[in-house]
Amino acid sequence: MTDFRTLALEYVLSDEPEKQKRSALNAASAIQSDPRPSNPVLRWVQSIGSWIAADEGSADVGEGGESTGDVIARSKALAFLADTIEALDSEFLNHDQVSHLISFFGSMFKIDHRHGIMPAARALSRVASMKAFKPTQADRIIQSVCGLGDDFKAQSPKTRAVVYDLISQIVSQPDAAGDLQHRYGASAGFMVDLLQLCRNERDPMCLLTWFGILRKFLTEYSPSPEVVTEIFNVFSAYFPISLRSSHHPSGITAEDLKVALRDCFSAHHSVAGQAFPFLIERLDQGEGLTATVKLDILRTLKACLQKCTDANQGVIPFADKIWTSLKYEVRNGEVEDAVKETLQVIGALFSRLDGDNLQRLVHTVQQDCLDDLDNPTYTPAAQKLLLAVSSGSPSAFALVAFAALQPVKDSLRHAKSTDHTVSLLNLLNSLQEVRCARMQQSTAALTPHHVGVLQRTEPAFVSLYRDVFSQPFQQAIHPEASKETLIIGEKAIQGLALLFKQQHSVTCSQIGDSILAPEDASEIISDLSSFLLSRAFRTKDEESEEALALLQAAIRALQAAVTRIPDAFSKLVTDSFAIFEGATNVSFEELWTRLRSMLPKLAFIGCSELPVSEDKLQHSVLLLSSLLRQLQSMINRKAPAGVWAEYAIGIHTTMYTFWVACENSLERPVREKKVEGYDTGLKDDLRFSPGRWVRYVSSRFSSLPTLQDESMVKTLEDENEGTSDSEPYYKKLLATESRQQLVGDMLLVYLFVARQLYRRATSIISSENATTIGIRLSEDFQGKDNEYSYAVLISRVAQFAISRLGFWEQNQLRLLEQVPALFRAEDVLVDGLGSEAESGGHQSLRDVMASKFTPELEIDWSNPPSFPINPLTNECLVLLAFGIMAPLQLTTIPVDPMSSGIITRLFFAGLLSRVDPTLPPQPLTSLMSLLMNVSNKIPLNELTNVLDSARAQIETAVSDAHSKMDLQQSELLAWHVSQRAGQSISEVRKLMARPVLYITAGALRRYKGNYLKAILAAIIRGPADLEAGHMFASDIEILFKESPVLQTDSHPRVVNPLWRQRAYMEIVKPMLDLALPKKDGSTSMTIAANYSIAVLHALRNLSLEIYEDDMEQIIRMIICVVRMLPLSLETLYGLQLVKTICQKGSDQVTPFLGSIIDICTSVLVPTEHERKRNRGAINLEALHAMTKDGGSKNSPLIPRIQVLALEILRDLTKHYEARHLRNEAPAVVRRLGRILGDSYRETRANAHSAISAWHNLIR
Amino acid sequence: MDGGVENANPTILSHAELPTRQNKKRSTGKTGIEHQYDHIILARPDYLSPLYGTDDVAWFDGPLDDTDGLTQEPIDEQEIYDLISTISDPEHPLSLGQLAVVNLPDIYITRPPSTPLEPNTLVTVRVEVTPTITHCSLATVIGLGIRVRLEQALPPNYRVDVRIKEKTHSQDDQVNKQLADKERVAAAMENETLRGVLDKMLETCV
Repeated sequence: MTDFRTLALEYVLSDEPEKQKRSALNAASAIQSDPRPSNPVLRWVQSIGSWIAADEGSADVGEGGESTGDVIARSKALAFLADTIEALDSEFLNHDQVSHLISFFGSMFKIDHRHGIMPAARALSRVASMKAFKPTQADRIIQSVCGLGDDFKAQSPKTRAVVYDLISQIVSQPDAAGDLQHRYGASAGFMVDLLQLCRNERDPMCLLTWFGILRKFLTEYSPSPEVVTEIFNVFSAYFPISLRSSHHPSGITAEDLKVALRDCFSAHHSVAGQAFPFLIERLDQGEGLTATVKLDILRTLKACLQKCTDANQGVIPFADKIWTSLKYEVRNGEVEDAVKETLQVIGALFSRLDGDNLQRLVHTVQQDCLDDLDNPTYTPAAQKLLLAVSSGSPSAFALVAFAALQPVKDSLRHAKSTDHTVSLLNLLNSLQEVRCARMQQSTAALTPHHVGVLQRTEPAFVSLYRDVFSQPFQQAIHPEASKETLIIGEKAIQGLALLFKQQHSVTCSQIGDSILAPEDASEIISDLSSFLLSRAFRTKDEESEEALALLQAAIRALQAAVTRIPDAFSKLVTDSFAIFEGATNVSFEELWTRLRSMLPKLAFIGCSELPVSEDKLQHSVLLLSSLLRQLQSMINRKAPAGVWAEYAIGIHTTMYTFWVACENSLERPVREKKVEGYDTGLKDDLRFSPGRWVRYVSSRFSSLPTLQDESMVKTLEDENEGTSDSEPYYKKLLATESRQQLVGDMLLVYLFVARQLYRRATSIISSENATTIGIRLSEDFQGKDNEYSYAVLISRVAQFAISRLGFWEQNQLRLLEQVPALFRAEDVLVDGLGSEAESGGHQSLRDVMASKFTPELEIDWSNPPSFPINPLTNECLVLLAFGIMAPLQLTTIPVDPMSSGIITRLFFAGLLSRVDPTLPPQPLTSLMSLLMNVSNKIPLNELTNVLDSARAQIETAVSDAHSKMDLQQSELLAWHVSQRAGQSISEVRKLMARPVLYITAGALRRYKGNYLKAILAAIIRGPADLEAGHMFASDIEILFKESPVLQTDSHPRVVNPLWRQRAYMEIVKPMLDLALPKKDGSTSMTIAANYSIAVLHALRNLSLEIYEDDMEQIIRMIICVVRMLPLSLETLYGLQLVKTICQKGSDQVTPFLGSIIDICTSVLVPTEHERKRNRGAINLEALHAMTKDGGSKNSPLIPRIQVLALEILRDLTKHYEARHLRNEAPAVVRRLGRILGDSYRETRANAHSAISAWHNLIR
Repeated sequence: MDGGVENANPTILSHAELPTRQNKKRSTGKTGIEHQYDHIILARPDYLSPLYGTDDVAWFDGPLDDTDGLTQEPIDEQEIYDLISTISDPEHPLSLGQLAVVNLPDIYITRPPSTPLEPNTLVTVRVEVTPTITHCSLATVIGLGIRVRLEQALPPNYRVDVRIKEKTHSQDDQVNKQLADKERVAAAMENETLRGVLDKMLETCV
């Protein structure tokens, strides 16, 4: 048998909650395991007898007679019981035991109101949740609690909170509630007792529970009106509730209390009789209310209106009173939020009314508001009120619409000012918007009655075109329209756009569903189109703001129109392209201007929303076809590449706009992110096959033109799948589901367009002796202006199209193979080209690639090979390859030899950066981007031959003496030098190092293991080079700079979260140690300067937390850099770092404040800085050469440096205590005074604020 | 000051009515709804950034700007206005700009047009003050405040001339005389009470 006394003693004597809990647990398990005959429950209760018995007398006699120790011990003893009960199984105790325990703990509320309440309440709470607890016992507990009487107030808030929880638990139990209801009936005596007990509660935590109890009671019980009134009086006394401190220790906010109290007000319609008059009375207090209280009242009113279960009893009797009060608030309210909230309350009020009640109140609204429409001063308020009422319900809308439209039309005829007209038109447009929103609601939200009501309003709206909008619209599109006419016209056009959106029926959206008569619709569209085509080509400066706003309204109206009347768009496109064609007769410059202005507008009008017709791609395909066709025509006519570029921008804009529209219209996103990549839900779609997709798109969208002869494209096996002549090819590939059909078609059309652009830009050639097959730019490219921009733009089109494909579709279409082939993989090689193929016959480029691209590659460094098919020697060709490669979702190196061979070749082509000698020299910058992108996608450590070559190349580049190189390195350097004739050896070495840096940059972000160790070591050695070190140093930034190249729409960059920390430790920190010249002279000043440059270029891309530990060393280095180097980019970067460091206000900076002030003031006068600097011992010429833009007196960097220095000086006074700065203040103010006449306005402004800040230190 | 407020209900301009440089610059970018995706479609490619050594390539957003939008502009009337319009009025909790005591059209800068940015050329700034009432006894203090502010904020080659606007004050001659008298200005600055008033007025200047 367990000795419960020992456990109780352990519990009482212990102060550690853990230990106490253990004792209670032991007791609970002992009760449950001890043999029943031993009556463990009794023994357990008796175990605390010694503490209870000792005090039974004293508790009644008075508290003064007992010692504090006794009281605490007794409380602990009771807590022992409470904890034990909590640990007991809820099914263990039988009914008698539960009953005894209720009696025992219930008695505590009478005999031990000092320390027994909390444990007793806890224990009762647990007992009440036990299986053997009977609902009839709920009343006993409540009566026991009520027995506390006035002593309840004396309890601590924590204790009271536990008691409230107990009451809340009991009144929330359905069975207990039923018993209480049965026992007390409507008089609810127990609640009256509780109200007496809990009056004057002020603790937020307790109030929250107390409000919950009251809400529960009002909702679930059926008290008599007298009790409701009594309860209302209790909780309404707290209104409006607030908290003294915004941060209460319990975490409760004033908003929590407001919501809980609001729930009491809105708990039941029986409260409405008191709640509405109370709230309205408060609201009508007027100016005595603060905005917050007013908002609270309004929100409470709204809650009461929305939650009322019986509007007949709870809302209708008070509707007039509420309307009168709210109307006043809208008309006279000054706080915008309060007016908005009031309007919402009005909406809530009218949403609860129907039938005669609604009609009666709307009639009152008409009387109150319609007359106001004639007066410009009152019109805005009347407009708000009418709209709020109409938003209540479809019936309310219909009543308001019928009543208001005619008076608005009348008022418009006699409008007194432009503002008045605009207000009235705004009201009409808003009513239209409400109707649109109602009609577009799901059918589930509308009853048939509501549908009928809404449809009956149609005639009233149809007449708006002729009666209201037509005249101001026609006046506004007149070329000589005044400013006022334009403003009114804009509203009229907005109204027309909304008329197009109005529909007959609720359930469907289809052509002809618009309420506008066809002849009216075509008249409006014709006028809008003519207006657009006549104004769109004016430059922005020629037009007033009002005219521009009118044009924008016309664009939006056309967009609304063509969505519902698709034929209108084809006419607009035809007319626009005829204008473009006509412009070529004037000049290509004229054409360029028109394209730039009109194409984005066409894309928005046609593609920013899906047409209502079944063919959702109708507009986008039409526009893309027209663009491609005219682009082809322009290229054939040798138009400048600037014109091509505009078509490319138009194509991309069309694609992007339609993509967004598609995403918005579909219920779920087009793409979902999965582990292996994006999933578009098109898996196993028949259309996505390399052999089918081109033919499918050509067949399904026959209007899309082919920009180049396709006769020599090899027919793949899939395409031979027979189809009957009577049925178009695409029919058998159609998807069954409309979403899948739409998304798949869109993606394939985009890819088709990109393919067309690529194929037109390239051609397949053989070299002179017809032994090498390759791809080159087509003959359209003549090396003229803007051809490069065009290549960038079509590369982006491809990037966009491919990035929207899912992982499965990209793989399925074998797009990696198109990276070198540029969408010509299926081209058949004939004649001289065919001789390359060993087997002869009709081989495609893909067949040749399969034999050429192998992962194993032996390179002769004395004469590295030129790569097959696409040598990536021309920047434009690289760009096109980049457009396909960048969006590919690769995560591993592909298994098939050709694909992995392509990736390997890309790296080697990048490392060698071979330049086509026949072309003007051009840096292959996109090739570098490509390297970074690919090295971040795939695990580079698996490509050992690439890693070895990269290491060899960087080591060759940073070896400053030929003697240190091996044969392979010497050959490599010699080859690179031969490739870049005319460039210095230092420059060549820098260019050799760059591809390795870009590869490393991509890999560094996902770096695990040590495979980059040798490459990183070589990179760190770079700045030690006396000749080229400064170039290597500034290029270190490549490793750290955030690059969008790594993050494409389809391929999120792969990033190890701590890569920066690791890169700092392994790259920057070793260089930081070398950045300060050693006293023993072991590091030359130039090398130290190189390392400083490298560190600065790295640190500017890192956050302070990463280098915080080395802050002192870094500040020392920056001070040295600013003092010793000319004013240059490095000075700017150094000062940017100082600014970041100083913002933290760290104590580590305090010893350097004098020096920081000195360098900041010295850069303000560049000539003085130069003079001081010349005293240094560094070779000046070398320094000027090594720093970017350094030393130039008129360097554009100088104002930026000065502004930054002034900002630092100003901020120092904020971040550091005056005692550290005061001594310097007079000198700083004096020196700052010298820059007040600077020629840059920003410099002067910052000087003023800095002077002001330092003046304050002196005062 | 001690005698209470002389003009208890001056005309006050709201902040929106005060002349600022921002209103003069009209945005030149494309703002229409049809250009909403231009920032994506026409974004400068990363490989045309300085890091790749190709920052000199023109793109649709124009060449890269080394100066961060900083432009060389001489001190003009608006700048002088910005310096003095934020001075507090000695008797109202409002700025001189809000009270229309200083106005942009009443600021004149004489600068030889041939050498607009030469640092050693003498330039005179004349500010004409409009008191809120014709018998304002604080006109001298206000003028002094403006003078002190400009002398502190302008470079040494700028000469400051503060006057009361003609016919706006009953004793404008006397006030102008006082404000133009260097010795009297210097003496006034020695007066601790006056100095305190001026410091309070200039507290609101940024």
